[in-house]
Amino acid sequence: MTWNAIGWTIIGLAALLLLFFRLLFGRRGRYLVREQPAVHAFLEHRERAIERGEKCLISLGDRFWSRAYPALGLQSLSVTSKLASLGPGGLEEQFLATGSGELALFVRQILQGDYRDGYSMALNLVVPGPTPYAFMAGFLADLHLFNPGSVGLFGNYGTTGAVNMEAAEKKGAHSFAAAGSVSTQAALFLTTRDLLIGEEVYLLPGLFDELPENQATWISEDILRVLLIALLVIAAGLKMVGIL
Amino acid sequence: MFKLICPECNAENPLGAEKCKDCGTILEGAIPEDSNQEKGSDLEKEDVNLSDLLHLLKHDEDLNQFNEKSEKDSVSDSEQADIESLSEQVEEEPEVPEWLNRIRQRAQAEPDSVGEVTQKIFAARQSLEDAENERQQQLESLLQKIHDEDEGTAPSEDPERIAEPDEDVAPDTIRGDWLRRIRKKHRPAEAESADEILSEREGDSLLHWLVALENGEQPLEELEEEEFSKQSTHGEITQEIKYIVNPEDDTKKFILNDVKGTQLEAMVLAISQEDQARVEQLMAALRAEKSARQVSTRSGPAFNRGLRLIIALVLIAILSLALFVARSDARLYGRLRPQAQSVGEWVHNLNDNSSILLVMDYSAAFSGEMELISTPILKEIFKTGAKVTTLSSVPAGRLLFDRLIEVGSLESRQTVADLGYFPIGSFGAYGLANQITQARNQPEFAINLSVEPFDNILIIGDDYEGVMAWIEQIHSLNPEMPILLLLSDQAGPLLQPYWESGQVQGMISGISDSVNLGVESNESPNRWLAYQVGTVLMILMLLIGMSLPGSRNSAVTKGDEQ
Amino acid sequence: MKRVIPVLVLIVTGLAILAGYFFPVELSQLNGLLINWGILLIGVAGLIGIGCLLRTHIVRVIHWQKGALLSVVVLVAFLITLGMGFLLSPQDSFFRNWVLNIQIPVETSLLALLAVTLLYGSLRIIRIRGWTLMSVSFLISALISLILNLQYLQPASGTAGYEWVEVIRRIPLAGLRGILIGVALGGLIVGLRILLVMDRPYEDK
Repeated sequence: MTWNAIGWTIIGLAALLLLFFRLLFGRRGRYLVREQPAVHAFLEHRERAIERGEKCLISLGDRFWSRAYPALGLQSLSVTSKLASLGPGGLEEQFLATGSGELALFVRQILQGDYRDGYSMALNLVVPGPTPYAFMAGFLADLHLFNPGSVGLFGNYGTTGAVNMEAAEKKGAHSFAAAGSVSTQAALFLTTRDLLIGEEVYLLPGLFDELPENQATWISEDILRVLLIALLVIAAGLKMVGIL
Repeated sequence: MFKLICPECNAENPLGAEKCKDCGTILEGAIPEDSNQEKGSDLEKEDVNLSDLLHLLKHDEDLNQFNEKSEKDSVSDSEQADIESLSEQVEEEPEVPEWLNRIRQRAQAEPDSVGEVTQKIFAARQSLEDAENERQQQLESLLQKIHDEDEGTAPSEDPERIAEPDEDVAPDTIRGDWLRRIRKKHRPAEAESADEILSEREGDSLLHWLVALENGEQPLEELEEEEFSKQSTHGEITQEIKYIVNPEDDTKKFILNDVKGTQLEAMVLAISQEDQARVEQLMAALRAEKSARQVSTRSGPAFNRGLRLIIALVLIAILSLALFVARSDARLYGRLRPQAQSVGEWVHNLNDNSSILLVMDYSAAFSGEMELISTPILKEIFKTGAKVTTLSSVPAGRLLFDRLIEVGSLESRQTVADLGYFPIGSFGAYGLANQITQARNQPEFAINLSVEPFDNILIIGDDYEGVMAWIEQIHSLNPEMPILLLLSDQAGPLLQPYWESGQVQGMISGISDSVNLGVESNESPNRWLAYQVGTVLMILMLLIGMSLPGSRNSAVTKGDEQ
Repeated sequence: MKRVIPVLVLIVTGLAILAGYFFPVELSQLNGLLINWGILLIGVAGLIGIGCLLRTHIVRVIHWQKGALLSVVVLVAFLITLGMGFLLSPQDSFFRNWVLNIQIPVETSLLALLAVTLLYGSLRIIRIRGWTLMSVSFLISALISLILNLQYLQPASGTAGYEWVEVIRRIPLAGLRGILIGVALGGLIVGLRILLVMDRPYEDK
């Protein structure tokens, strides 16, 4: 068995698990999710900021395609869709910032689709900058203009994301981040109060909306994680005895 | 024709009916009444104006008081006789009238009726207080008029107007109408005196009890249960509320004192504990809505800004000293790592037939460090005569490469082609690897590449993410392709597993590897010293931060730790 | 039909790229074509991002909102750089120096700002997060890594000290690998959700 075959097996197993649990949870039952107090705090502070009449800033990354964290850009789109549907009618007070054109296109489509069913035609989408450092500079400037009460960081960032969150904290906004690579999250750990690390980021859409497909995602990930752990332990053991 | 009157809804039911046709109440014990007595039935159907009642009762009591006093005062014999006759008539009345029974039942069955009584009592009391003095002077004339009206006159004024003594209404006329109707209903042939009416209301009469409370004759019953008292400060009403818990019937009784400025001493309102719990929950929710929200505020923003400024100034000062004051001839010493040694060997093995793809994957912010690391390596590469092709995964990649050439004073730029900017590093890497495979296996389809497949790939990167994507994409499709890395100091440690697993043939990470390899420049010692000084500063900050006391701010926002 | 065609294109493209890893020779031509189209689309999307940026600043200037003066600076700088790029070409040394002599100091300054931010953050980490297992382990691992990076501890190869130093260097890498495996799983599931049409947040509702 080659490494390609192993990869194919994992991909096929993941697809089967997704479909199976999607059908299962669509009919009955649910999978208890691990509670994330950081997410509750973010949603609570966001609602309070809206009640106070302050703006909420959602940043979706300085690039769409992730080089280290795969699918993080797609993840930020799912989060945008969920947050837009969670809004208590305060979408006009919510600003979205993104650093890449494809993200801007998708976000615009999501918001227009949501507003079509909603009440407002406000489309508060800004592109602070097309490159990571340009995004950082533009984000800091927009932060000074908007003066938000809540800032959420999603998607792909470099370590410069830590400066953005530090600036948000200085403005008195509540900061939440579920973004970036490992090194970015290490930097965010110093500056962000509420932070999701590692694969917890991929739990996020389901924590906003417990749809059957989100629950199927959780349980599929957990099963694959356990399988991979077992595989690693077995492989390490075989390596130690000289078989591999 | 006699009919049964329902005690609950006052509906007329035929004689012999067991249940009321409207509300279904059992009519057992109901007294038949003559429906032909229209004025009497009218009296039953009309709502009793309690304020009118109390007003008249008050006058009757005053009449009694006046009678007691009049023994010593000089009154006419005729008036004395009238008063005595009225009291005799009241004393002779043995039965409680049906309308009064219905009032009592209603008061027991309907809790809100007590409130209505209270409101009417308030209005009556107010009117009584205002006209008290005036009425005393007119008492004699009223008595005379009452006696005359019993003979048959029918006043037409609205009895409810008695509640407004300020208006131009003859109170005697209104009271006479009420009294006349009562007397005609029960004793149509006999006149009734105020004394008789008043006497029949003794005992457990609600109205009499209320009047007695007003006059201070009826003391409040003291309950045995524990009594609580609290001052209510919410809203506009400031009042002292006492509530007494009765565990037997699981109710609370609220005793309101000084409600809305009136002088009513006490009013008892029974509320169950469930209702009370709901009320308290609602009050708590209202208080929470009105209370100030906890905002994540920063204590001492000026202090934080000052501290940041101090840290920045200290950092700038110390690094500047290390950069400009440190001796330039200071030697760096260190152990040459095997991965750096591999790069040196690789460069040494290049010849003029070698083709190298140079991937520019670092940003302008790291240009200083990358120029220091890359320029000596590029100089050696160009010396061998190998063909170099550039490809950028950052927008300014081509500009940075030209700057590298310019800074390094590299004379020969044997670039075959510039493949341009690939927007997504991993995407471009996959495409490149795919094209290499296609060109190797199906050369007739290799229309995208302007050069032959590369022998080596050299990646200059400042971040492990982009380099990792290149390694994974290329190695998965072309495992035999040699990949070498020139990295910044922050990317090196994270990519070391790729060297250890054999996916990368060599890597130089940071200034120290470059210097130890022997390709140092004049600026290397100062840069390395400044790097070490910055690292020491960072260590000091961490240690100081660990020694500072913790803050309660960490408990304000949830989700602090996973 | 309006929703079916994009879904079909999505599924076919995703499966083709995925199969290209396992059948590289047979599908190289198709994958090459798809990748070239993708690069083209992403490049155009990059231009759209720049267009969004310009639109934001132009609207701000037209309505003279807060920050309009800075937007004027951005627009003027953009137009000058764009004009010079077309006139002089990126290979011209003057254009290269013009761009890099502004871009490098600006980005380097922002990086310095990051350094100060991280320094200040490390000073306040205990005050913000308190003495928890996460913050203490973070601080200790950061201290050890920084001390090792100073390269004052360089035991000779083959000695026990050398082995211990290498083990300590590798512990964070082991944790990193664990996180990356979990992240790869999450990314795999998210990608499969897109391919299996279970999640389409960008689609009209």
